[in-house]
Amino acid sequence: MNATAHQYFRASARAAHSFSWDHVKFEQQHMKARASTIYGRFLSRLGVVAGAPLAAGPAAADWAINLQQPNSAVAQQMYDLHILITIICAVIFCGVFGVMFYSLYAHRKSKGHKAANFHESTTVEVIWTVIPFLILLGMAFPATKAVLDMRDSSAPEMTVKVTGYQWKWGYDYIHEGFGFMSTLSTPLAQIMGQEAKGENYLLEVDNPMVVPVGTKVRVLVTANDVLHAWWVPALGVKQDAIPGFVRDAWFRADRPGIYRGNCAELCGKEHGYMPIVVEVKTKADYDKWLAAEKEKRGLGKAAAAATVIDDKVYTKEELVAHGEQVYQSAGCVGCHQANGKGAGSFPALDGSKLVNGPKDPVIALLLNGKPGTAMASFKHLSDKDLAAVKAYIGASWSNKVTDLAQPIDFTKARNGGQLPAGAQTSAASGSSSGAAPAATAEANSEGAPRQALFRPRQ
Amino acid sequence: MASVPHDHTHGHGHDAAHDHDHHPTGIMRWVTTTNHKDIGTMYMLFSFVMFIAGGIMALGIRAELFQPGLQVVRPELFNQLTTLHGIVMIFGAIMPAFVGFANWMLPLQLGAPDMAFARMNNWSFWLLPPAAILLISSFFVPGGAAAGGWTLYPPLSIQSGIGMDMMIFAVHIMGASSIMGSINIITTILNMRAPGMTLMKMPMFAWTWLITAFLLIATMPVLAGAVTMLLTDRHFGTTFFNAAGGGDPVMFQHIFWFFGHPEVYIIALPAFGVVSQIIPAFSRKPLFGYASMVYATASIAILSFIVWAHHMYTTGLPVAGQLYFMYATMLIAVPTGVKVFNWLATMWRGSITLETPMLFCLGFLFLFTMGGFTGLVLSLTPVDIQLHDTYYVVAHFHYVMVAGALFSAFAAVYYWGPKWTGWMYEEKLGKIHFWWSLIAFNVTFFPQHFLGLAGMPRRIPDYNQQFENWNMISSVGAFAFGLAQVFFIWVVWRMATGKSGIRAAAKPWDGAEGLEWTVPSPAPYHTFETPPVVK
Repeated sequence: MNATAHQYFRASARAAHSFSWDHVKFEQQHMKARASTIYGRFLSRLGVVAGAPLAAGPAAADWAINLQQPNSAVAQQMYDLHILITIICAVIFCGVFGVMFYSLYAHRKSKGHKAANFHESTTVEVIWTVIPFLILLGMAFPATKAVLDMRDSSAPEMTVKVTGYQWKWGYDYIHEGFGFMSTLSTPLAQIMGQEAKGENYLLEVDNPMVVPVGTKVRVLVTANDVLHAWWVPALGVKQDAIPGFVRDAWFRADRPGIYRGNCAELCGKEHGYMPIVVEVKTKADYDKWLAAEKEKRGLGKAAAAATVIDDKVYTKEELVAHGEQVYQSAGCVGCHQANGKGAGSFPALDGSKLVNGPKDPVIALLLNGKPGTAMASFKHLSDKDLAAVKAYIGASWSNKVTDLAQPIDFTKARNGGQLPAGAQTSAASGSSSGAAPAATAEANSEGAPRQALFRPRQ
Repeated sequence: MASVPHDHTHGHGHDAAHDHDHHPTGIMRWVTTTNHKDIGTMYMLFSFVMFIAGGIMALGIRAELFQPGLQVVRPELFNQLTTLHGIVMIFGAIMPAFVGFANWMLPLQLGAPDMAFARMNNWSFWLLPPAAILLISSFFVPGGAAAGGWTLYPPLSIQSGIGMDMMIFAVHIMGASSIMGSINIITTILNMRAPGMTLMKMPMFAWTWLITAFLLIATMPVLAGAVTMLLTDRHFGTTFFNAAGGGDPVMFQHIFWFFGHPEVYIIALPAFGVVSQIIPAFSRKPLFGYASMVYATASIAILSFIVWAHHMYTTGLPVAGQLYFMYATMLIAVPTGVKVFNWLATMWRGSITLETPMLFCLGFLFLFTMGGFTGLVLSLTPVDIQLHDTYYVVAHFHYVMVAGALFSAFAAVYYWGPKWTGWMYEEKLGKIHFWWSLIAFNVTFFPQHFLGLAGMPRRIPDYNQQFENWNMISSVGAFAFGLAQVFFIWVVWRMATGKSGIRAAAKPWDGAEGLEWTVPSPAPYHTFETPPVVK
């Protein structure tokens, strides 16, 4: 994931510390240059309104005026309930304002209408208190039924734990023993208007949540840092993610397909950039996906129940080359910058005593973060990634570190200085990908968020 | 405005030594004044300045949302704008505007010489400018203004910088001001009515304010408690809202909305009062069902305390909680419906004219009812699950707040403005302002219903192209609406300075009733030094 929005905003976090007009100015110039095209596009869009309102085809979504097409029984009930109450409201509205407009038309002083002097009628007042009450009573029945269905998360066929982070989602397939992060994949250039926006602009992620069709899926929703809300309109689920608490919700997708939603609770500056994508597959395809994911993580049949560790000794060049990518993709560059000089309260790596010192404190810092600062734990990265990024930092700019850390050093550091019991070496399993061990799925949910902007206070 | 010379022709029953207005001149007059008319004027001017400030923030938001992508502001500034727009409009613009009307009009309507606690009245106004300065200047401190939404939900609000502390302090100050204002209003209404004016003969505006003042006294301390807990969580190591220390972030929401929902009616009820004065005046017919209006207002106020968690359906309330709050919320539609029907029955078979105050009241009725209906849609838990925190909610509360509060405030300015200034506004200009505002308002906010239904969350600076069309239309409407208010300044300026050239009679509206129309226009600096007798 090169140059996505997340890195960009982290890089600009410095600006947030002291409110900067530079950005605004830059944007204004940027806007001026585009003003003429915007105006033209706006006119052409109005042309669409006049010409063919609600035209069929792709344009229809642009003028959508109703809830998204439901893809679960619960979402269908919500949809129907909304239609029903909107029609009832519209009818009453027309009735009430029909009377008002008639009165405004007929009882005008300019038409010589003389004012009557009545100002009370108990009968009328009782009628217009009781009738609305009865209408409400009628609406309460289907609504109550929908609430009861919506909240009945009993007897799920599978369970996925969903964790909101600033600003991404974590999905843990807790009965399968693995999990992954799901991050916005829209490139920054699209956001800044330097590239044409893709069809799923801001509604696309690197790793979607995958579930089988026709299966009752229970989601356990929680958060790691602040409130988030997991919302997929077509599935009829919106559940706040609350740090320290687990809430549940459920859905059963009717049809395979890709369903998109957003975080629906303000969670900081990138609230608008943490979409949710759920890919509903046929049961056979889901099983294939599941097997592939397990295989990828060393959880396949061959390696069932064993933890695979990467004990290969890499050369410095191998590590540095890989580490350069990790420095970008893991977000280090956002705070510490490409030149290693840091920014504002983010310390410089270039010439840093810690970086140029012995390896163990650096390993500990990468794994655990530094509480009370923006330096988060990066233990969700694989041992190889961590070793590589350490090597890259140590060999870049003016740094000349000779004490190379290998992936196995991180494996040991994670496990209190020992190799995990019953571990299988990568040489034996034939895998050197260094994917995170299964345990990291759980570890992830403890990892501190990447807070570029503000210092966490606990 | 209120600074017109004392009207010596007005009857006095008191010592001639007090016959002149003993007040300092220049700026000190306004700083030290205890006159309800001066203070009312200052409240109104303050609220209008804040309305413009909040409006500029809204235009920043709408400019960014004109099209997808980031063009005008960074996401962090965007969040600061949405947060401050909400706080400034609610606490800075709407509430002070109606306190201003109360200050000006309640003594005149009740036949009282002034408010009960004149010095406290001065202080409750002068607390507001420091609060406003705290809010506005927080944009320029490190980390910027508070960016966690006007609802201040933790843990996000615990993360942010010093701007949040400034906001918390501002809320404390404004809350203290509101409580003092409420004490003043309650005491004035209960103790200073003219002989013969029983409670059930009071103008509706006084009734709605009496109930509102009780709501304020009941809820403002709750908000103060909530933000104080935030403050100690932020700086003094408490964990009220942190699960790691045994707290609960959702508890904040319960406390906040226990204040927040009555707050909606704190804003709406005085607006109901204004409308209940103006519709009978221009229908030339007494208010239909005065007693049931009073009961409906009181029952809305009471119900407003037991529906708070309908703002929290998605937090994972227990099923029984979701059902209870749904039923209770639906129930509010009944007394609100009674009010709308009463206003319609007041117009029915009246002798209606459509001057600007009446137009704004009709606009209020139309839009507020629409906001009420979308409120009913949102009261249904399953539907709200889809619509919570989307633009549908944004549209809903702007229909209630802008239409409910702002349109009735405009109506009040046109209706009572001649009494304040001694000059009429120009009818043609007033009507242009009305139609301009009405159309621009609907162009801005009606499409937001569609955006919310289609799945656009609120409080996001950027969105998928599928939402582009309605957002463009909404932004164009917003700028038109902003421009309409610049026009409003001009209309009021012409009225206040007498450029309209039409002097206002003591009672410029032939259908209007009430003691306020028995004093000359502009109202003299001191009125009702001898209480009138109401039969």
